[in-house]
Amino acid sequence: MIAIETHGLTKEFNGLIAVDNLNLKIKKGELFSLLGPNGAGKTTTIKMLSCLLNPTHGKIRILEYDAVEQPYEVKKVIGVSPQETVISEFLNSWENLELIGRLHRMDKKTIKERSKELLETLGLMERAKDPVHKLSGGMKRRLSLIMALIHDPAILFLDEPTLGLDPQSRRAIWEYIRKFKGEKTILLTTHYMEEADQLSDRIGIIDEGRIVALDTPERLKERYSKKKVVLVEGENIENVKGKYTIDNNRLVIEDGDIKGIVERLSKEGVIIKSIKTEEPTLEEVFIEITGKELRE
Amino acid sequence: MILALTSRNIKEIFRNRMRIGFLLGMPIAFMLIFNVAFGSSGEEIINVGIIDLDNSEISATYIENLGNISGINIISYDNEENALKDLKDGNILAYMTIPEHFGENMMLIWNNSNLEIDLKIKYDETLPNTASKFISIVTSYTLQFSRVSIPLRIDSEPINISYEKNLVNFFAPGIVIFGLMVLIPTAGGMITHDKEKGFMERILTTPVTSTQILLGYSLPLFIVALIQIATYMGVGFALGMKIYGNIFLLFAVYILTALWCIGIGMIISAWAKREDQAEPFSWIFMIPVAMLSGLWFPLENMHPVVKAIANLFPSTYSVNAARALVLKGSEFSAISNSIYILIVTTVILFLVGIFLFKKLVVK
Repeated sequence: MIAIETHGLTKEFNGLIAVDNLNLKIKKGELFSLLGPNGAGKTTTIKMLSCLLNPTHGKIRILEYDAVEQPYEVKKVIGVSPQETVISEFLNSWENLELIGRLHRMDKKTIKERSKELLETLGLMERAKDPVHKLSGGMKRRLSLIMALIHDPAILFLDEPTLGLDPQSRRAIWEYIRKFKGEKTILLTTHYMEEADQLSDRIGIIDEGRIVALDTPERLKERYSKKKVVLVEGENIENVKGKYTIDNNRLVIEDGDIKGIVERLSKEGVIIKSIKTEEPTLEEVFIEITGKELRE
Repeated sequence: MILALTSRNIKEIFRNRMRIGFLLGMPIAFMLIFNVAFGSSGEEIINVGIIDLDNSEISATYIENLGNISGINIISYDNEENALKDLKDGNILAYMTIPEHFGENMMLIWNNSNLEIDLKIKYDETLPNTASKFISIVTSYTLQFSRVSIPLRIDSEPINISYEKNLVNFFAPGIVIFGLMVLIPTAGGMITHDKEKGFMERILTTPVTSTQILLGYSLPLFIVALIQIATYMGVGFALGMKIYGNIFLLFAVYILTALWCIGIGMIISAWAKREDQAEPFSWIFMIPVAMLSGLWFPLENMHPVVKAIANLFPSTYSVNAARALVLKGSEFSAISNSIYILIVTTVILFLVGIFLFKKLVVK
């Protein structure tokens, strides 16, 4: 069953193509990541999917609804966590959640129960009555995230959910996202490799408005990354100069066969002190595909 | 470090057109407006009423010649009641009563009799400058008419002797309306802030309509307006303000004022992208409008062009209606035109606001 489907989705801003002929099929319960640098068209895509922007061309289906024709139906089934921390500064956490809940026509009792659950899960209960401008950045971010969840939407759009957070807060949010993975259909955008790698069922690498690769994280790495890299430190490294790359007094060998490497180096008189393998990363995949680095 | 920061801030200011407009354009606009407002009074025509109790040939000639003086337009009345009504409704600025035996007495004066001429003028207290201009014209004209220096007594009195010489009566309506106009930057700033910070978008991801959003922002502002009106009136009363007209009608005028102000704020916020555009723009709009519509000083001495421009602003109708109610105790019929104009303006502003919000919802 397909939850989100786009066909030829395109958005132009004054002749600039932000999203170019995007075709996506995201299954129910899947966590799909759009990975790409800033300006790749991730947020524009989410805005079109959440009926904030009309596409220039193309079709969007969210469950059984057409996003352009039936925006109000779509808005009932989606939850959107915007890229920025978007909260009402002079309300407290309860009131922020209540506001969104009421805009979704939930009754007060359900809002209260659901808020309690969310605030507790994300560790916000203790300060839930403080006006939110007094909360820390990480706490605000978490509140902003759960505001997208208050009405228990079937489909969740998370636009850079951990942007600008410290590693600890980031991990806390990942943990939380993992909890409802499978239950909800999630489209997440990120430019953090690790985030996409850790959370996604599938990743679409987006660059200049176009999907340039789409697969599971494992298969992407398999397909696009170079072989395992072995780094060797030791004495008499100069003996193999010319045969292998030497970087920073280390031998860099693009070959996963450690046993073979040890044998060959011993023959050349290299005394190995340490040997380390490097797994392929999404970063490499990204550079391989787009020819550019993904800076944070 | 300080220099770098200074340089950066100068760039910030000068690259923001709205801000530079606010810093430079506003004082210039003030200067220009004050200049026009207090400068030439233009070729103004004063409407005055005459009640001729004498009905003699001499009084008829007197009136005819007075009417020939440039700048004076004479309207004749049979009785004082009608003249007073027109004065209260603002149709005439003053009226003069020519006493019985005016003609006979004038004949006697021409025959060197030592008689006193007694003329009564009632004028609109809210327009003291024009009234005194009229009184001095009448004085010199009558002396000329009698050809000799006679003991002329012009008994001038403002309408409604019970008026206290109280400035608050004149200024309060304008100040209340200006206070309500602060709703324009408030509405504009509030909505633009939410647009800028992404909160509006967050609201737009929920199933609400643009009309609901518009009302969701106007209603709290309307409540603020009610509090404002009550507070301003309270302060006015504390300062000795007296309302001669219907207080509920006055409330209606103030409420309409609040509504059109909120409407303008909405429209500004639909246009502005950032809060630092919306707020200064609102003030740039407000201040000249407040001045041109006679909120702070009377319009009577303004250039006709300025008056014509003033008639384009809803604030002019608000202040005219409010002042008529507070000062003159006018009936509904006298201010009905202003009220209808305010209602139409409010409806149009809100329709435009809803239309612009609809465009805001889906880009």
